[in-house]
Formats: sequence, C-alpha cells, structure tokens
Amino acid sequence: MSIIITPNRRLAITLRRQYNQFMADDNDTGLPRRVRHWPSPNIQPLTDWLSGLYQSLPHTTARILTAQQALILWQSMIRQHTPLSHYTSEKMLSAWQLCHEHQLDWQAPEFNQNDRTHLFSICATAFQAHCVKHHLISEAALPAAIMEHALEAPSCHTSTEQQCQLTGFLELATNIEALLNALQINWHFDERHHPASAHHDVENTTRPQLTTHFSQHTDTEAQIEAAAHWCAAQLPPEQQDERPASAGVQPIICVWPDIQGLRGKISNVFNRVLENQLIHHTHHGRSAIPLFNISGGIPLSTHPISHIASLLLSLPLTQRTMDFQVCHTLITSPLIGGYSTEQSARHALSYQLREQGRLTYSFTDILTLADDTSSPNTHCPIFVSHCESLGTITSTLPEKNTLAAWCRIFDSLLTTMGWPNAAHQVAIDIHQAWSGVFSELTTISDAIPPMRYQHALDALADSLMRTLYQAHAHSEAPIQILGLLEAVGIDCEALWLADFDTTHWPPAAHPNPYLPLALQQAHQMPHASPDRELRYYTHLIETFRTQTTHIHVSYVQNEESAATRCLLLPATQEVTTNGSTNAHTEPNKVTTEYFIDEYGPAYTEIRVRGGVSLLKHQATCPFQGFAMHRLAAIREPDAHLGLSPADRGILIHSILENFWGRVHDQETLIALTPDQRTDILTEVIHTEISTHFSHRPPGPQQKSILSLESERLNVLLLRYLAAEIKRTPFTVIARETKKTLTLAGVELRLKIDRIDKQIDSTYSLIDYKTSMLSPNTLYSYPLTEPQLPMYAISVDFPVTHLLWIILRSDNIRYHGVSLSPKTFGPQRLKPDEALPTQIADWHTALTQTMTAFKAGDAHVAPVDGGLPCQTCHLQSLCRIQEACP
Amino acid sequence: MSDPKNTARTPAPTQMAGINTASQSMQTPLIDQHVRQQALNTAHSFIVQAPAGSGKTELLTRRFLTLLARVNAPEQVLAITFTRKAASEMRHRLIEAISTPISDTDHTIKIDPDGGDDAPKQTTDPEKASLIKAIQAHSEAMGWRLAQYPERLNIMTIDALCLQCVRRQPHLSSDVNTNAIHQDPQALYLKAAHELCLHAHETPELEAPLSTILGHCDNNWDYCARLFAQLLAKRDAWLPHIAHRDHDVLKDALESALHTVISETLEIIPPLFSATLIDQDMLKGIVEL
Repeated sequence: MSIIITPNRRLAITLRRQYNQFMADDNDTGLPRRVRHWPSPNIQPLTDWLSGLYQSLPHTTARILTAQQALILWQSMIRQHTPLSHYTSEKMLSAWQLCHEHQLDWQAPEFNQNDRTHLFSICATAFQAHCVKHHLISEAALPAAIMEHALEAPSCHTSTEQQCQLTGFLELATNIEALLNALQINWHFDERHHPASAHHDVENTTRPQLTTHFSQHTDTEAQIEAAAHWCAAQLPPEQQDERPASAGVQPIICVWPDIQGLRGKISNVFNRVLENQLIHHTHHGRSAIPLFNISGGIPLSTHPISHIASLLLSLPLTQRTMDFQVCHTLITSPLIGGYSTEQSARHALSYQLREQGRLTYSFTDILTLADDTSSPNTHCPIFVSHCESLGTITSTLPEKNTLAAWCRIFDSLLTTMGWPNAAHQVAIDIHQAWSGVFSELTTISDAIPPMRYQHALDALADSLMRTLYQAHAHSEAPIQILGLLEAVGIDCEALWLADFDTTHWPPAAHPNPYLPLALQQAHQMPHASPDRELRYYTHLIETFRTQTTHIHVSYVQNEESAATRCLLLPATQEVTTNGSTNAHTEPNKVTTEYFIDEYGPAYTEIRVRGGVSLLKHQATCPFQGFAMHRLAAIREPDAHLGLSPADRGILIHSILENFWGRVHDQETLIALTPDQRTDILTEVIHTEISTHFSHRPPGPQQKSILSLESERLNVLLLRYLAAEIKRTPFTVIARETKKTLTLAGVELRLKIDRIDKQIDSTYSLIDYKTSMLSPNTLYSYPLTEPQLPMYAISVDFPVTHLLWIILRSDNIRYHGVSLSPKTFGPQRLKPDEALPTQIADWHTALTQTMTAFKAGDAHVAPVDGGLPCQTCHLQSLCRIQEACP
Repeated sequence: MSDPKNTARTPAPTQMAGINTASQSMQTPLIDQHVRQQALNTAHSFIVQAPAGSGKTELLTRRFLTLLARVNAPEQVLAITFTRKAASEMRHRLIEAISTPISDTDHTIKIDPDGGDDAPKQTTDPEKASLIKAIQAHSEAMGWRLAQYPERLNIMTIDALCLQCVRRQPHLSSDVNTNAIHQDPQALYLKAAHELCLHAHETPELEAPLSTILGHCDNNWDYCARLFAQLLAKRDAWLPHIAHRDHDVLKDALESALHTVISETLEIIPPLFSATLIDQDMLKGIVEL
C-alpha cells in the first residue's frame, strides 16, 4: 500500500479534498464525472501515522502524551530542580524533542558543558524515568520506540505501507529517516519540496511563468489593508464562475510569519475589505462558505467566556477580597448563573458599589449589599446563593491535592457559579473545550506529585493557553490566511508573503539554551546557526515559488523598523507603495449613503433634572448635553484609592453649611477665641464625616483615610476662616438654599451655596470650589461655567458680589466679579461696573443654551478646539476621532 | 567597554562646517580628523561625546565596520543603542555600506544615478571605500551573505540585549515572563503603588511614613500613588543610592545634598535684589533649616 505523509494536519486535509475534487470533476469540462465512487487516499499527518503505528504494535502499553501533557510533566520535573518559568519549560520541552529528532544522548559528556545543559540532562533523565515508571511516552519518543520494536522483531512490525511519499517537508528529522529505513519502506520526497532544491541558485532559476511583485508599507495596518485588497482582486469574477464554489479553483494564500499575534487585526481588516464581495457571494447562494479563513485560532484562555471562568477560579487565591474591576466584571457577567433573572439588580448592585469608589471589595461587602432585602433594586438572591456555595467549597480546600482532584474542584466551582450560563453554540464549544482540558490534565494526574491550588491553576492556565480555539475552520474558503509553514505544499492561484523583510526572512538565529551549542550546529538543528537559517529559508522560498505563478511580497519600512526587503526572492516587477492594489476592488464597491441628523426629539417636559450640570454640558458640547441628559449616558463612577473628589467636595459643603449654621456672622466668628474656633470646627468636621460615611461599609485603610482627612480639613478651614475675618463684616443669610429657575419655558433647580449680606447692605452670592477657576470664564460664550450666572439671575435682589471661594491646601482665594470690589474686603474681585447688564446678558445666553437643549440639539461641537474631549467619556458615541482624526 | 581615559570630543557642527556628510568630509579636511581616526583603534575603548549632527553615528558605523573586518562571524560585534530608531538608523547605514558597489580600480564608492532618494549619497571616500572593500572580501570568503541576511549584524537596543541575556539564561530569571514584556509598564507601576498604599497598614514600619507622605500630598491617595508609580519608573536612578544603606547615613547624605542645592540657589538670589532687601542672616537661617 502507499501512503502520503504530511508535516501537518492542514496539508493532509487539503490534499484529501483536492484529490476528491479531482476525482469528482472531469478535468476538461469541469463537469461531474459519471463515476461516483473511488478509494479514499491514505494521506496522514506524521504525528497521526506515528501514533497509529505505535498503537498497532503488540505489547505496547504506554499512553501517548499530548504536547500539553508533556509540558506539564516537564514543569513538574523542572520544579524539583530549579524555579520554574514558562519560558524554561517550553525551551526544555523543545530541547527534549530536538534530542529525539537528532538521536542525541542527553547523558553524553557534552551535556556537562555548562549549568544549563547539565540541568537539562538531569531533568531529561528524570522525565524519561518518570515516563517509564508511569507507562507514558511522549510524541517525540515514538519513532525510537517503534524502531526499537521493529529491530527486535522485524517480522511482526505492523506497518503495511510499502511506498511512502513525503509531501510538504522542507527537511526530514534524522529519527524519522532512520525509522522509515528500519521499516524498509520505499520512501521519497515530493520532488518540488526536496531539500536538494535548496542548493539551486535562486537567482538563475528560470521560471518564465512566475511573476513577482513587491510592495512597501508604512505600518502593519497598511500592509494588512493592501493584502486584503489584493486578495479580493484575485478572486475569480463571478460571471466566469458558474461552477460550485471553489470547484477546481486553487486557493489564494496569504502568509504571515506572526499570524498569532496579528490574528485580530487581520480578521478585522479582511472582514471589512471583503464585505462587498461577501454580499455578492451570499447573493449567489454560497453563504455557507466564507471568503477567507484564518488558520489556527485564538488561545482558549483568551476567549471572553474563558476569561470569566479564569476569574472565578482565581477567587480562592484572593483572600476574600476582589479588585474592583474583577468585582464588577463578575457581578455584571451574563456568564454567571441567574443573570437573566437578576440582570437589572446586578447592574444596580455594581453601580452602587462603584459609587463607593473603592479599589477593592471584600466578599462580605458584596454579599451584604446583594442580600439586602430592604433594597429590592440591588437584591440578587441567586448571585448570593452562588457566592455562598463558592465560599463553602473554597473554605474547605486542602493545602495540596492531586491534579485530577483539583480539576474536579475547578469543574465544581464553575458549575456552582452557573458558568457558562448560555445555550448558544460558542458557549457549548468553549465549555466542551474546557472539559477536554480537564480530562487531559486528569489523565496525567497519577504521574505528578500532589500540588497546591496555585500550581494546579498554573497548569490549567498553561493548557488553556496552548489549546487553540477556532469557532469554524473552513479549509475550502477561496482565501486562506496561513502561518509560514502551514502554506508549504499547498498549490495556489496566487501567494502573498507578508512581512517579507530581513527581520523575518530569515530571523536571527536563536539556539536552544539547554543544548550544547556545538552539538546544535553540528546537527544543523533549527535556529542553531545563521548558515542553517539562511539555507532553510532559501529552501522555503524556493518551495513557495513552485506552488504558484504569482507571488506578491510585502514589508513594512518606517523610522523604527530596521528591516528592508528580503533579497532571497528577486522581484520581477516594480515597487508599489501602500496598497495601490486597492483599485482592483473598485468595480464591486457599494456606495454607502450617509444621513446626517444632529437633532434628537424635542424636549417637551416643563421641568428638567440636572440644573447647573445640564447647562454646563450643553454649552461645552451640544452632544454632551444631549447624551448625558437625554440618553442618560452617564459615566460610571471611578474607583479611587482614597477619597473621591466628589466626596471631598460634598464634605466641604456640608461642613461649611453646618459651621455657618452655628456661627452666623463675622462678628460671632471674630468673638471666638482660637481654641473655640478650632473646637467648633473639629466637632463639625467629625459630625459631617461620620454622617457622610455612615451608610457605607468601611473599606481598607478607611480609618487612616478619614483621620488624615479630618486633620487636613481642620488646617485648611482654619486658614479659610482667617481669610473670612479680614472681609467687610457680613452675616450669612442663606446656606445651601434651593432655587427654581425657568429658562426657555423649562424649570431647573439649583442650590446656592451661600448668600451673605454685608454691613453696607450689599449682597454676595458665594459658591465653594476645590478646583481653580478664572473669572474670565464668566465672559466667554457659550457659558461653560454657568453656576454663578445662574445664581445671579435666580435671586430677586440686586447682586453686588458674585464669587467662588477656592478652598485648596495650596491656595485659598476669592475669585469672582463685583460691582464695587473695594466694599467686599481685601480680597481682589474682578471689577465690573456693568454687572446688572452683564447679568441680563447671561440670562440671554443661558436661555439660548436651554433653547438648544429643548430643541434636541445634539451636534458634535466641543468648545476650546476640542479640549474638553480629552476627559470626555462619550467619544465612542460621538465618534469625534473619526470626524477629526 | 568604555574607558573614561579615552574620551574623544568632536566639535559642534558650527565649528566644523561640512562635517555632516561624507562627501564634504573628503573635500574639507576635518579639524578633528586625528581624533576620529584614533577612535577607530579597535585595541582601545572610547567614549565619544559630541553634539547632534557632528557625525557620532558615522564614526560608530566606521568602527563597527573596522571590527567587522577582523572577526570570524558578524555576530561577534555588538552595537547597543538607546532607541530602536537609532538601531534602525545604524543598521541601515551598515547595510548600505556593505551593499555599496566599490570600484575595483580606484576604490571609490559608486553612485547609482537612478537610485532615487534612497540611493547612497556618498562620493569618493577612499578610506571608507577601502574598508568596505575589505569587508566585502572578508564576508565573501567567510560566506556571511550579509546582504541577504542582515539580521546577523548585532545592533540592538539595551532593552533587547537584556531580553536576549534573560532568554539565554531562562532558569536564572524564573520570575521574568519573557513572552509578556510590557512596552508601557505604567499601569503595572500604578498597580504596585496601589498595593503598597492599600496594605501599608499591615506593616508598622510603613504605616507612619505613608501617613507623613499623605499629609504632604493633601491626603490625596491617588496622587500619592501616582508619585510612587513615577518613582518606580525611575528606580534605576535612585534605588542604588538607598537600597541596603544605613538610615542615618542615608539621611546625612540626603541632607547634605539638599544643603548644597539650597546654598547654590540662595547664592543666585542676592544679585537679583537690592542689597538693602537681603538679610544675610536670614539666608543662612534658611540653609540651616
């Protein structure tokens, strides 16, 4: 029998499909043949062939380890001799595979060359012994085991293949060659990929039918964009293609050396660029086959559904406290059981926790709030039940356990929390993939000593990282986006080689740190020497040249990139820069229609909430006003390490309200001794801080935070009172007084911080601020600081002084405007002899702003050249970056 | 590598008209030519200090080329830069130099008339041409194929060198995840600062000092954490001075440094004011404080 062996599964699948297609079609007409049956070809990836061969041997009892299982066993070995790192275990596993491929003895004297190689030798010996003891065998050791058996009992080796063709191999490992010879199989390479072809002089090879273009791009995004347009242009015109999708048509291949790192970007750009073709494709009834396919997949651990599971499993390690982001993610995740029932309550709970502004929360904090039946808005009994069950499990965790037992506990924790709480296909697939990983870990549990929860979680994380998840793999899609070695051996219509620069083709040599360098170079191991890398990549490019008639190579060149175009492939066509290929897709371009509508529905109510902030937001940017006060697009409260700015502002206001409630005027203030003043202030501060935080559970460091804040306020406000003493005598006639203002027929409410009547019968309207403000903002339109103007037009007496008292530790100031500044005191207010007229102007300006709000004005027009956008949370809604990049 | 005794200083561009380009350098003899020549002596180490645009990179490129002509493999020469841009610039220059066709007859560098903006701009520079010729011959004899494989040139940033060292000794740096090097670690610094502030009360030695610092920071914990994060980002500058040092010695050193800074500042103040306004005793008092 004959067999075709490929280096990877993708090529085996492609060859099988191409063979079946060839047999199904009449090559001349492209029409189906009459013969409907033919034998399946024996095409297998090397690993499958080796596994099958090993398992068919008599008296073989060892279980074959997967790559993930081998890695975890290696980690177990390494941890016994040296601190473990992910990189160490990967490199040691790689060294182990190389030793087998090149039939090296790791106990040879060369391995005593340095501490690294010696360490590897010790670990490899231990790993080998461990495998024997537990009846395990790694994939790397299969050829040697099969060969040993074949040499011991040549008559009963079970390989039935007599002819073997190796397709897609750029080089053949020594142990595989030895195995094929030992099994007396007549093997040969696919002619086109024969390593001997590497010795051809690439420059002088004459292939008249091959055309090569190259293009240079300013960045990776531009390169991906150009590749997508180029691939779109290579698709056959639909009018010429009456056959079933992909029948007889070879794929268009796009090769990226770093496909894993760029997967997301590539997928986004190709989806966008091919959108038009996709519409056409669907109209022709081919929606089942996408236009492009990206190989591999994302690591299972990076999928959002996995992310929630990982967060849940990390909870037992957090000592019953949670980072605020983790906390809000879990509470509002639809992947936790009971979400659909408690959706509103959970989001309200999350918002209430956010309002506390803390960086960490304890389980008790969360459960107290979530279990509070007196607050139905935030009552989440199912969530509480899940958390209590989780707490029960985690409180009884043993210090050490077997990996299998930990996997059962992991599974139990996830089930307890109701993960993944979804019935759609992706959630089912991910759940199954997790079960597969648990199963894989469980099967090697006996071979690993009991471990801590953290180590088991690390092993799980490693396995999840190495397990690739792809929702759908479409090897029949007309555009195939592949990694470097995946494309070898697949004939194609056209081939795009991306990042074809001197950095990637070939990369710098990087020998394995755990194998003697001389040994690696002598055996021409991968990445061992510059000579080997250059030869390998020369051969790789030569192989690509045999697979197609049209190659396009691209690379990025900019200030930060030292790379230039790789010279291993001579170009026959001129340079193009930054995707001149875009023009190819023009014929299919669908025109997008734009409807510009900058007004929402008119506001018809007679009252509106928001008062000062509404007019401030509307004046800053009409869209901001509309989004925040009509759409309720309110920013969620930020977490803070200490007190939030809002808390500080509220405290200052309430303390001063309380203080001036006791000390009614300047005369009384002056009459107090310094000690009396301090005592009153201390008492007021204590009262207000206690009241303000009485409804919140104490957070970490709360005692220190409040104690320091109390001291700070004492010092700050004593300095402020000293400044008040220097003013013209006054009496506080109103504190935090509520007012109603009607603008453009809509009622707004506001609260004036303080109204003073001075001894000269003039009135001062005062607003406390903890940030700096300039009086000039009162004269620039639109009014982005409308508070004082609103105060001025809301009272029914003539205003003489209109001011902010700035209360900052580094700066206590009185800023504002005055009809007669000298009568206020030594504090300098900006003189404005036309203040009554100015107040009328403010009234007009505020009315205009309110009129715009009422009309639903939502156009994006930030003041100050877009300065407020730097701190605005609405950019994803207004998309100003797209309008003004 | 650097030897403080060998410090070559090249004058600023204004003092050396025409030094910026190799073409001009041949037409106008450089007044510091002997110093530049000295810096190419591979038997010694040098620190080259010169203003921007005076030809440091060109000198470094020549020194690299000189070294390249003497080694068995190009990987044996290492050039370290602070930025990727500088590494890129130097790599470009070296590749350009190595790929430049040299006339066999008079050892001059040829200009490609159709080369466009990116084509080499050098005119005749027999010395450099001779050096390049030697490297090209050496490269060919050794089979380096540098034009096809310029990654063999070891030119990298200091960060890249550190990463390479870590990867060659992975088990010695077990806590370094070389697959997840953060280009912008600010978020990590801030997280570390938050952890410190949140857990300081668990360590009595930290609680009181943190309270003192917060008192100076207006009890603004976020601001305080940001300051800690900034300090972490610059720890290479201050950590060696305070780690493992006696508290009193450190305090004396800091006070001495502060004394010097204040004294120097106060020396500047008197000339700015009328003598009658300056109270010398008060100034001394400030320093003592």
